[in-house]
Amino acid sequence: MDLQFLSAGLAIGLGAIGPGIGVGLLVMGALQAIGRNPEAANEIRTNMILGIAFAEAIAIYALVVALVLKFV
Amino acid sequence: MKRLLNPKVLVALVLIVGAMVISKMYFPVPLPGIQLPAEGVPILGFRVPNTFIHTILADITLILFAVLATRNMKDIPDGLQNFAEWVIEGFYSITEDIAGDRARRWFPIIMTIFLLVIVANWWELVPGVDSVGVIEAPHGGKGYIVEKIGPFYTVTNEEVVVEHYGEEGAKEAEKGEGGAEAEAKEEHGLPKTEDGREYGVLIPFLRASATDLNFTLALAVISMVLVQYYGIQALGMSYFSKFINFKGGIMGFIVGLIETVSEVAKIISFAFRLFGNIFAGQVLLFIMAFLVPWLLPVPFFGLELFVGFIQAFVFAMLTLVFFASAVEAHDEHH
Repeated sequence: MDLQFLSAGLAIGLGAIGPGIGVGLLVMGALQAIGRNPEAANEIRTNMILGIAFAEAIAIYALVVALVLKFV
Repeated sequence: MKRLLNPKVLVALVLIVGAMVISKMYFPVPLPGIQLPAEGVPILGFRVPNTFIHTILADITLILFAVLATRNMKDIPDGLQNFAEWVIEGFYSITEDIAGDRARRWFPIIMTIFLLVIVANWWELVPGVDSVGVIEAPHGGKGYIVEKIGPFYTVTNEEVVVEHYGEEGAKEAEKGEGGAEAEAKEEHGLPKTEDGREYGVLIPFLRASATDLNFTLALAVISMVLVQYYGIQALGMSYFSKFINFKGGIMGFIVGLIETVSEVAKIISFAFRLFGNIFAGQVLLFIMAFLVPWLLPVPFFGLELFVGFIQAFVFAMLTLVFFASAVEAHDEHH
């Protein structure tokens, strides 16, 4: 029982590191692009959100693993 | 620093912290039993999943909105019609940017997904969703002590570990429709602990649709099947050369295999992205209200408002991007 909670915590905790860095890099790039070229802000923002969604999907997989460990 | 220490700010701070402490001490909120599958609400002898009722509610909201917004349309729009046009036009211009000439054909599908998901997500934030329901005998696992507050019943924080499974629990559940907001019955069929207190679990009437994997998986499958449909429609049989590719040698064949796998992976990632975000958001709201009942959950409601929008937007946008990439001829640069 205790190991189950520990493993769930580790799954989401470790799984969130990569996507966290990824989202940070994405937003950094997007903000720099907007700073250089403010007219393209809308287009850049849309693409940034799409990119974040892809990066975030990895964290979501980790979350699903954690949920399965905890509840199933 | 000077501005932070002015007496008004200090008084406000003390009031906020005081309210939080008082709420924690005197108005504790139970942590709801979090579970993955949707709970079945007993209606007319059937078990209707509460996420399904929630989806129907979102549908009704959308239909009502559409009817009200288009009831008497004017050339110079105002009120609801103005708002509807702003939403549709804003999204249509984004669709046009990505889809070009095909925007008119794809827009209804994209917009339907967006509106359904965003309305279903935002309904989750309305008070009463996830918290008003019937109290039933637990089917095993954990139960919570039931207390009476005024005319209503509520579950409390005190857990009871249920040992008896199966037949007996199920029978008691049939009778146990006393409930959180139904009127009081003398005996509402809930099991009792040794010291005579009743316990049960709360079955909420409504629960966000996207916290049920069936809802998100259905949307994902619809979206990906449509991707194949539009791909075949635009490219004919040559669409499949993306998946089964003998021209590019061994590497090309392997790339084709990877394409095939990633097509399936897209369904999974679609379904779990929406599910995971909304489910995690729901649990976050539960836990924040459990930690500090007053004021603390407010910023998280704001966050969930944002997440609900972003997830709906991302679902619709990704569908659109996959549509657009499916109709592009993919072997012309060979």
